Amino acid sequence: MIFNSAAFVVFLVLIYAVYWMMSRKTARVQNIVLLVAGCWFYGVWDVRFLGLLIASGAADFFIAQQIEKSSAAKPKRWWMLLSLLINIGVLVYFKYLNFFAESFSDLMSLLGMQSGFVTETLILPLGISFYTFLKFGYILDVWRRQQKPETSPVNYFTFILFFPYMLSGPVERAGNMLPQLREKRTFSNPETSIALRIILWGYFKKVVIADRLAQVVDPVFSHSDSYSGSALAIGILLFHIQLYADFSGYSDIARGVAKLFGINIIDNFNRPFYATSLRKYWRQWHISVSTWFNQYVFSPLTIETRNWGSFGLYFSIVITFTTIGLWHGANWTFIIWGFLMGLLICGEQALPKKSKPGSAVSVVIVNLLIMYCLIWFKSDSIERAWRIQHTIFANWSGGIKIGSALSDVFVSTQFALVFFVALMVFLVGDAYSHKIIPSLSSKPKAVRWLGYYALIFLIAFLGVSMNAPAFVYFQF
Amino acid sequence: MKKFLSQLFLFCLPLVAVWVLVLNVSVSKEFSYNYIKDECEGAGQWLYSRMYLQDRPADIVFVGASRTMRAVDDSLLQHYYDSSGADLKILNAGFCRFGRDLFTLIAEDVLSTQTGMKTLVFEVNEREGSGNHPIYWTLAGTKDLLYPESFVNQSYFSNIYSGTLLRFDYLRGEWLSTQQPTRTSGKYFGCLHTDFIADQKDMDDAAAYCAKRKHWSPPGAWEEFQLGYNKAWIERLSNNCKARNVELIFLFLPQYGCSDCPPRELGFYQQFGNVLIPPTDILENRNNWSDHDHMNNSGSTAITKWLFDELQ
Repeated sequence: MIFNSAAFVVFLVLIYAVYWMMSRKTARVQNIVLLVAGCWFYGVWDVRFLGLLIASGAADFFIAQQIEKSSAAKPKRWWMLLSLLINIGVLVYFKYLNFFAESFSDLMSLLGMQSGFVTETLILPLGISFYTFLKFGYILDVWRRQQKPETSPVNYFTFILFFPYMLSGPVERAGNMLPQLREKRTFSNPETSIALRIILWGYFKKVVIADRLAQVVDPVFSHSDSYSGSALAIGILLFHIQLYADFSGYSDIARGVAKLFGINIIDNFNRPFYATSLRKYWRQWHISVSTWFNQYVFSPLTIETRNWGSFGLYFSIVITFTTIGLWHGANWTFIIWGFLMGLLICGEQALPKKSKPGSAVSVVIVNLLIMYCLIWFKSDSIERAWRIQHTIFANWSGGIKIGSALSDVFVSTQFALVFFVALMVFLVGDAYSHKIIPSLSSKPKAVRWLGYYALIFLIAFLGVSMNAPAFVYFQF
Repeated sequence: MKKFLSQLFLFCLPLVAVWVLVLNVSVSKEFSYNYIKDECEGAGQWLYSRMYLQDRPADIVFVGASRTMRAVDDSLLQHYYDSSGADLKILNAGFCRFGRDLFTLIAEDVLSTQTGMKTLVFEVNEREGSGNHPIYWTLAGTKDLLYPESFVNQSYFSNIYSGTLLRFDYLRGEWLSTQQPTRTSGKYFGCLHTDFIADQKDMDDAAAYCAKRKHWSPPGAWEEFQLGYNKAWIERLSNNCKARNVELIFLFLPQYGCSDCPPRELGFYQQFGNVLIPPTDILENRNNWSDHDHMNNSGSTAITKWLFDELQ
């Protein structure tokens, strides 16, 4: 059940009605409704993996209690390591085992030996990277005494099975969620209006911008050898926009849906296109995951390597970003993407402050560097990524031009114009959405409603389609 | 909350009005058939071209599922008629997967476009199904989507939903000029050919399945109620044929192993026309099948020869 499906809309309306009918009851009853909704939401995809999620969640619930009970540091550490083993073990088994086995086999065959590993086809449980980090983040917080373990199984399982974020994040923190789940939520008219605005804006980004751009980008990258360097460069630019519109659209819908139930979750994006440095970009892009890695990977690493001087810092940056790359997917292209990102941030760190350009130029440079790294993110193999960047830098005009891919999608001038207007609405609106969405309440109703109807019109006439693609980050 | 709900209700009213208007949009046949161009090896797009663009009206038309597409070699049948001196044009207008509703709509398009048509041969199987065709909504007009009998259909609401999306796509295409004109196909015949001979295990499983005779168990009360949906389509088709003075004939095409009994609803079909039942020696010959559901070239040659004799 994906957010851009009719089934989800029906599901949401049903759960919403039941949830607020229970509004006179306790927080526990409200949480039970959310918990049942979460199980249903995940279970319709594959009930076996719901069992896996509940089992690993139960283990973490138990481990958190044991950490709290242990008075000495050593047993606490052992319990934390047991959770690490379970969480990372499950993640590695489903997501990385084949990749590691194949990479090892390739290495062995390079050395003229045989590894003897046999890979088997495994179904990747939906959202595993997200919920693993959510659960393990909770354990780390308990272990570091930043979070009291949750004693109510209902609250705890509602936290890990909260359907708005369980498939593609944001990777929420127990410190934000559990206190909200302990309190009874009351209906708020203004908050609900804001929630619906956020959801509408999220759908606009996803179905109007991201899905249309995907129709141009996907053929360019799946037949990258036929396209010219200029087409590939523009393809990367469009993918840059598509990825952001897709993922931030998803995150907005998740945030808005959570808000409908009176729960505030983290805003995963803060205008990353306008970042003036790569470090700022990573503070504004996929905030929940970058914060997670900052807190649980980068910070401990910098502490461990503090005696190494600058090298320790650079080492920590590169390791952190390479791990972020690996988190995204079991493919060398993601690892190289993360590694490159880490190297570029090290370069930025090493740059003398005086040599840094003005903000407008910085924004352009940051976006160009991000786009270069996206070649690796988007490519399905190292060879393809290598060929794409070679074509961009060495064969600018030979091959199919981007106009061909664009005209396959935007087959008429009218269509191209309407999409261009929508794209402008997206770029300008996104820059100011954090101000516009809350401030709309003070505007006259006619103005607000006209705005909503305009967005709905654009969604209906540019976005609505039978074969709505899934969200890009679902694959992770 | 009451205030919010009343505001939401007011906000949604114009949207519902627009939705009703969109649902009532009449979609062109060209758009509808092109919409299913990726289904069934492009059969939808070809059917449009064959019915609406080619100046070659057919006299005998076969309508049904992929069993018809595989079993009736219309080019061979055409050859037989040409050789016999009869000036009749043959068309296999089959389309993949089962669904009485979609086939009736295709048959109605055939009836309205093939002027002077004489015979419509409609596929029937071991027993009448109770479901609808998965892409029925692509060809269904607004009335067809809301058709009273459709309430029996389990996909009623999803058909309306999908039909609305189709109309959005259609309006987008009209307003933004995104529709590409259909090219006229030079192909006159719709039979799908293969020389592949079915896998033995597949055939054994199919035979074992049919041996259990579940196909002929009489429908229970609930199934009988559901059958009302498909039976209504057949009655509608029969009325259409009568109005146009076209003979309606049913062609029994069972899966492999289920040929030893006539269709369960034989009596029902016979109210509207003859039911042609192919000889068992053709249906039981394993070399005539590409899989347990479909004939291969050997099978279609045998069936077509038999059909020619029967239709004489």
